Amino acid sequence: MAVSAVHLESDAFLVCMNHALSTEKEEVMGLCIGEVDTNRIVHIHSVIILRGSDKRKDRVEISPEQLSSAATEADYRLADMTGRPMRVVGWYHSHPHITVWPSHVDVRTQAMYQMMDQGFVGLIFSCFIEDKNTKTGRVLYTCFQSVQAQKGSEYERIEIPIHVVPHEAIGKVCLESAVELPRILCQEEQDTYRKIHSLTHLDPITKIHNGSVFTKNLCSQMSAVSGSLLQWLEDCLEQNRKSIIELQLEKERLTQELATM
Amino acid sequence: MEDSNSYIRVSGFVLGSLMFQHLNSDSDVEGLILGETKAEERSNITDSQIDNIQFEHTINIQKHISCRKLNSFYNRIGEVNQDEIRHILSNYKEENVIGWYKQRRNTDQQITFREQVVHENLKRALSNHELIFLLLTPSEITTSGSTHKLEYAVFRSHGSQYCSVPVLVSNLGLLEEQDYWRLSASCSSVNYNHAVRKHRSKFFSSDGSLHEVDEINDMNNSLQGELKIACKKVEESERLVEKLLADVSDLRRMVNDRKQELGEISADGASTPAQPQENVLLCEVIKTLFPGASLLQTQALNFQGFPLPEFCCSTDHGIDIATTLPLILSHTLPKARKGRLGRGGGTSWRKRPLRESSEVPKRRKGMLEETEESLSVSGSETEEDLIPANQNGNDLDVSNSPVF
Repeated sequence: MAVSAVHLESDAFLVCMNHALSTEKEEVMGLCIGEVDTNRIVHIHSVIILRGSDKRKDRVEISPEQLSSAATEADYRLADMTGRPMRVVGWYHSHPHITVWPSHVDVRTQAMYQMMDQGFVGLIFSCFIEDKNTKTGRVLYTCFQSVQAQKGSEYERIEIPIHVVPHEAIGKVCLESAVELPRILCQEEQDTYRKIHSLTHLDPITKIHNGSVFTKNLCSQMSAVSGSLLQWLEDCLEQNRKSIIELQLEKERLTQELATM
Repeated sequence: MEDSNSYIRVSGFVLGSLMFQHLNSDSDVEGLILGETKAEERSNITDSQIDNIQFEHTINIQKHISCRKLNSFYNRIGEVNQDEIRHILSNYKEENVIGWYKQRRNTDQQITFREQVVHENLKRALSNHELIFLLLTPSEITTSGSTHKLEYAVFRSHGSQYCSVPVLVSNLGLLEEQDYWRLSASCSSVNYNHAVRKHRSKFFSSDGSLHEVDEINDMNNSLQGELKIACKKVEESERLVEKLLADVSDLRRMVNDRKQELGEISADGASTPAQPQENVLLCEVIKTLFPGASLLQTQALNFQGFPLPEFCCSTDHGIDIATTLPLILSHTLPKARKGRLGRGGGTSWRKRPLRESSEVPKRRKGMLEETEESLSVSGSETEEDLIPANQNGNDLDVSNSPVF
């Protein structure tokens, strides 16, 4: 086995979960940035949210351009901050309303990535699952790689242990990744609208209708994503302000105690 | 006919934030939930019913406030401390509290009895009968540790019953997305086109873009700007919190190290390891009152809390109890020999002598009861009156204390 385990920093996990929970209508995806140590443990320090290149709601694929761009970002942004070389070490995607286990397409996609990099890992976040009897909601996440099946030319999945590593504070790169989500959603919508609006054969009524659709869709994003994200950031700030006051008092108390000893 | 439906709505960011908090903690976590409640009445008229009223009760979870430690706003019997709640809430108002939450690993997704007690007391303290309890229970579902799950449910009490309320995670998918039209309907009416052209300028700017689209794009850009500012502020505060946590951790370590250094140095300056002092007076009294009762004389307990008889003090401290503590002996049997009490029990309440420490757990309660009984027997009866000589089979020619 090329990889023995995956250690996912909790702030990177937070970004993945926020992304997965942003929509139940389609699968979302992103890339994992980190490093691999000598014990073949993959350390994921941050993630990059991606736009879906295939707009089919049940398929996710990463374009070569996205991979290249992510690799560049890993090199410059995260490596610069940590002082260690960082690279793309895996990918994640969501399974809204469906089982956490990878489909045969997912396993094949993973196998393809492993041809480039044996240590490449796949994460899946299954969400919006509800037990109708007990009204209990459920979120699951799994980590896997692919191996050639013993019989035939197909691939099968192998389980990779994953541990979420505590990270008390949210890192700068993860925060910036988190606020990328509304920007990416807006960009997707603007690109779609621009293509439609440029069609010359549309009459004014159709254009006004499409403008309203764009307005409605953007309002949905602002309400469901941007607004909630801004609320969460403001709550974090408030919580941190209280923590800072308490920690400063504790620091003064300990300093005085040390001085009197 | 009336129907009532209740729902809990929570954003994915709040749910993610709750998970993040628990992942960074090695124990259970709990806190308060703030939000608002909305009720809506809808009237439906169908072919079969003229009056079908539906009540929709939606509870929106807007944020959570975590408690620094467990059991902070309630005590061991579940009584709620309102002062502590106000302290936790800080600038937030009590009326915004719609519930509380708890996260515990590898446990059942069921509200425990203690949580129920706390919940009822919190309802009374906050005067909120619609108070909710959000329970999150993460666990591993594969032995390899490759797959994990988090279950979450909201409970609300109706009398003595607790029922769960459906939870909806707000997301983009809940909002209907309309499709763009790629083709226009064909209409050759002259008057239709005339009417459209007449009002066209109200919708379109000179470059052909729609006013509405420009306005909403501007609004969205402002919102993105606010997000960037908030992100920067949060990032700065996170770095400060990180630094303070590291400073406090270093200071705590230095204080502990210093305390250890000071603890190892005694008053005369000599370096002596700290040793617990033996209470020699107590040791001698127990030997006097209960000779041979190694379970009472032992100074060591095992991890289960049961006495280990092999750790008795065998040192003769040279203290004469009759002289030092005469009052203790004045309550014992009058013909007790010097320094020793006799066996204080009749055959009716005598137990088998304890042979092995492994028997201790089963008989501990009985032993304690007998101890109390033996001490209460005094005055009128002597040991010789109670037990015929040598009937106990004991080879010693001195009387023994009650056998346990």
